[in-house]
Amino acid sequence: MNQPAFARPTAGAMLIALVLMPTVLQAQVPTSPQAPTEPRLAQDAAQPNTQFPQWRVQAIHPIDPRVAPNAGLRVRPLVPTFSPVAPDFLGPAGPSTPWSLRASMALFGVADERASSKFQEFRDLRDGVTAGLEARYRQGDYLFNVVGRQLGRRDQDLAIDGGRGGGYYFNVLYDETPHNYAFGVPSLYGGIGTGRLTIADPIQTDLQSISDPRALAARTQTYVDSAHEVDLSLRRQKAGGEFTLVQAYPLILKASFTNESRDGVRPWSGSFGFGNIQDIPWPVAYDTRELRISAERARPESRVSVNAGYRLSLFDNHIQSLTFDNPYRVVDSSGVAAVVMSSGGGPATGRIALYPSNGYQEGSVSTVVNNLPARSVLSAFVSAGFMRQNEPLIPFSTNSEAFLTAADGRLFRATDPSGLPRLTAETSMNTQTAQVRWTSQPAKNLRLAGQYRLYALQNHAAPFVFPEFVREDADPRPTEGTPGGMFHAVAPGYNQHSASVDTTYTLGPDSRIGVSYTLDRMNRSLREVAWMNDHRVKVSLDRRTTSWLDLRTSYTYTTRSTSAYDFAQSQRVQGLDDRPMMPFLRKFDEAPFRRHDAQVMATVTRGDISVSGQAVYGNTDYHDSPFGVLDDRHVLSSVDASYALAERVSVFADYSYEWFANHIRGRQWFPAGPGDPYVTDTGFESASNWENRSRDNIHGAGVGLDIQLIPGRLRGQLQYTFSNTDGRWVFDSPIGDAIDLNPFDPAPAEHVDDVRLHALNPELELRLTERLAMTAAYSYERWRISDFNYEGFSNVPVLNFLGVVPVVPKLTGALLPPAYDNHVAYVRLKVGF
Amino acid sequence: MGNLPFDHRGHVKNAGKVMAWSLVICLPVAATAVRLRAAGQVAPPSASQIQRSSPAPEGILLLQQPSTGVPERPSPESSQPPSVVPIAPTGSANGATYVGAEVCAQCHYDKFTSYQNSAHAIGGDPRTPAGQFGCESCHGPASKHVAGGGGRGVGGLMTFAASVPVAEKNAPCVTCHTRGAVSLWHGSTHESRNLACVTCHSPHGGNPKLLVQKTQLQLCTQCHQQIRLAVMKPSHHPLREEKMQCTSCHNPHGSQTAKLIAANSVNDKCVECHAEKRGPFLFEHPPVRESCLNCHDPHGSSHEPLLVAKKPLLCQRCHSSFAHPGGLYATPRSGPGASQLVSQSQPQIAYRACTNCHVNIHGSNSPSGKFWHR
Repeated sequence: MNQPAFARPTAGAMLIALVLMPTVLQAQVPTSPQAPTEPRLAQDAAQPNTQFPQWRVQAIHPIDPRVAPNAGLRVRPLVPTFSPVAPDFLGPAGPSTPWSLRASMALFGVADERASSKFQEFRDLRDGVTAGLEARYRQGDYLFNVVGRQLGRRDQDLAIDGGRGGGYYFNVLYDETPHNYAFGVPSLYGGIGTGRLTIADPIQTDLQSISDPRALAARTQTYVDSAHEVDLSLRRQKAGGEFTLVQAYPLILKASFTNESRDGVRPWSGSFGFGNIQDIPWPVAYDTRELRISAERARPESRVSVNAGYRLSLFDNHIQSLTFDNPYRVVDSSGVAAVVMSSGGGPATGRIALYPSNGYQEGSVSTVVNNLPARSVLSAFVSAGFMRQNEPLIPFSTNSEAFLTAADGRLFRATDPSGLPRLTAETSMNTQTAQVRWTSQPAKNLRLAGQYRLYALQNHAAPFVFPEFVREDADPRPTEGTPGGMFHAVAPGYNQHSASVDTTYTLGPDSRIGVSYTLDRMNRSLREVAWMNDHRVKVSLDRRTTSWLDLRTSYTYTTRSTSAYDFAQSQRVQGLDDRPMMPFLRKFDEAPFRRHDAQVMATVTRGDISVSGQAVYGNTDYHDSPFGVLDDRHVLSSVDASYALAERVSVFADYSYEWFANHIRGRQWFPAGPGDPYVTDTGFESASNWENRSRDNIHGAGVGLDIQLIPGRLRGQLQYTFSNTDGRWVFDSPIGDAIDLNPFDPAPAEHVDDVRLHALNPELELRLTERLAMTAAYSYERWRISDFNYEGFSNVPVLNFLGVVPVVPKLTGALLPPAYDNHVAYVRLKVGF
Repeated sequence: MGNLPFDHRGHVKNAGKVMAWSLVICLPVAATAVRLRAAGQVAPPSASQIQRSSPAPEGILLLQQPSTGVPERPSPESSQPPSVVPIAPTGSANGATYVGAEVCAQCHYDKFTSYQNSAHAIGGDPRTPAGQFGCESCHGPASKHVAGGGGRGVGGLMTFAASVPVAEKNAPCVTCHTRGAVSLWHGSTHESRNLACVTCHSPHGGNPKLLVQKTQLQLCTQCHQQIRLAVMKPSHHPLREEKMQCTSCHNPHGSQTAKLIAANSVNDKCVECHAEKRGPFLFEHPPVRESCLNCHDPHGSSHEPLLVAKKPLLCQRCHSSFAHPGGLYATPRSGPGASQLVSQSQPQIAYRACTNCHVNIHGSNSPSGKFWHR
């Protein structure tokens, strides 16, 4: 383990100290009061704003010193925030000081910056110096703020805002977020990050010459073992700003523009068939530009407020296709065998269409009408959106040995774009959203609300019809079933109507009961069900039974009914045979169900102790589904506590436990073979059925201590965080007497994404002067994972169902970040002016 | 650090380092200059320095001139600080009238300064309390409170205490906050559950957006404890790293969409950042087009990337057609087929399972992308 760099004083740290010293010395000496700068105070009371609403001053209430309605719960930060949020040792600036400048410098030492990509997943923690900044200026109506965090790092951000009260406001943001997937993983490919991934021809030539699958796998591994290592990561940079014009109040005009760039690579896959899977890094070179404009007219005393907005979003992908070499072929060939073999056939390269550039525009109008009879408020929202994508299409294949038949019967080489039905995508979708909401209080204790909402999506993609395509650049595929049939690209659309009524009755000063009913109606085109209705009833009870106990409960019951389930809809729309589809399966997003959801939350506050607990239960029963998801359950229980032991000491702790369980049923079958639901096993029962019950258990805990060792001078914090996820798959499959495609007792998978995280964070903060503080902190993190992928598939035989070795070399393994133990220490100096 | 790919757009790669070192060198210099020029720091008045006004007839207030730097605002008619601030009665229910923020500051200096540091104190903006009646814009006219000598419960001021009914506590806020992000507050989820504005906001606090906690995640997970657990899962959005916030996706003040999503639909929100998946595509995957939540849990998951279940079982929830989609991908433990390898196939279960081959699962723009292989 590397020694932390902070153990060795660096020239940089000494330079910082020398530069800061004069300023520090000045800060220790308070200056004598000078003429205060007059702040802008309230409007002269002699000339009040006559448009301000009349006040109804209530009876005198005793002031609860614990006004913070979270009952004083101290919520721990989830993870140590290595950047200053806002240095808080200064307190608010006095009214006579227009400037406030707070800065921090931190010297970091990290034991192993590259311990694991999981350690650095969205962070940039490494040896060296980072800076934080918070500057504020208020003079009269003018204001200006700057907040910068982690400056100098790849996870830095900077926010600037300001303006003139009553005139204009602006804000500018710059944010960087890294996403690290893998460090130092081997890859045979060159050109990573571009749209062309290459493997040296001698490697391809050598591997193509090996016909024995096991020997091929062994030779491939030899090349992988000596391959160069790469890091797989993305960088997101977002910059933008917003300008608000208040000058024309009550008309407020706002305009914003953002540009988000993503650069790097993302680990993903490409394949040439069942026997040839490649783990390849996809290039990412995105720009997303967004413009928003809005105009709003509203003033507090107005009955009507109106808002109109426009939004334009343009996504630009600078690399729209990825061509990647096939390690097992240096020359093209095609045929069915290529799909299941590795070196025996197939193309020399493959090409994937990456995400196409696209555009979206939206216009919206909303209005709110207040002060209607019975204390009613009416709000309405309408918007229309337009999505367009018309990028050039790549040819059917890169395989020069693949030939296809066009719709007009002409034979053409699959690499020839002239065989395409058209040269561009010609896809578009329109959306409409409308919502009307009405709330009213017809009586003192009674509130009513009603709402109607519509969301509609129409798919206007031009029909894309073709008789054949090339599967994975290896195997030309004609349409199945119907002779002379054609493949169609399916263009689904839908609309969703939602209507709800909500009633709330106040039982007492601190008690309310609410009942609501919602009907969601969804109409679909080109999917298995044409419509579905969700009926949802919710009852909630919020009650403060005593001054120290606050209770919130709710129960929701939802039922779904649907039109007749057309299991072969996607085949039928293409004029194809029903038979590939499993007639008994109901897709869970279209299947009838009954769902129960219950939640209870209680908050207890007694003296210096605050405890909050929550329990959640959810159960979805897909009662009409013989296959697919049968049921889905979820339970959560958690407790959160804080206790002020003494005036200077407080402790806090929390624990949560959650589990998810679901049950699915499937069948393994072949046409005219065992388990065929059309011929052999036409009922629900079959020896080739199987069931899976999966369960995820998640535990989370935290405990912390906050202590004022020397009041106002020395403060200590200690925090420990624990998170554990534990997954398990249990299978069940009958061992039938008849021919059975899976005549074995399946073993469970004991480790399914089992992850454990420990984090320990002690911190000391010493306030040296009114304007200077120093923090010393240490962080220890331990991360472990156990999953069947890491176990090398020792439980899974190496031969696939066709008796060949599927070559799945672990080229990048970016889904398998290594475990780590890591140490971070830092010293931070915070200065205020 | 590693082999970052070639930046074909030629971005300056060392901007971060240049920025950091510029700050190291320039910041202390600039700060020193500011310090020398800035007005002197005025210490808050001590208790003995604050002169509490003696009880006076209602409507007329006698001010003791404070001997500290608490500023006072001269009347427009005079260049001399007034000894009497004329008050025009505004007809409040109990007859109290406005006294001006200067009077509040004499006793409640810390509250006054915290107010001064907030957006509420931008006087030139007619929408703000400072553009209205200052402290009394929210707390009500204070003449009776002042005349009664101050103190808790004196004068019928609005205190926003826990014991005050939520509707009363919210009234001052929603009187002004009726536009923009809060325009759909009425009838929203949180409003229906009787949450007060001060449940989440503390106008006298110093946190961003005047939240009662330093970060949104700390605040929201007090009630939504499930989310606290979710963001700690191995696959997560960068919420706990503070690169995203709850309001990146939600509008807690009300929205035109269920679950307070700050967009017209779940998918519309997701593609604001993940615009590459907006499409439309030549070959759509219908459940993707309807809702990203069919497969993903955006708050956090055990299963990369943010999946509600691990593949292939996730896909087998909907796909059980003949051949490999319906296969039983499990290890034979016993039985006649214990050595049978029909259902065992590494590509369908290893690493990305189904998406080892079906790579464009969100939709494909390739003419050969019918099954999302390309």
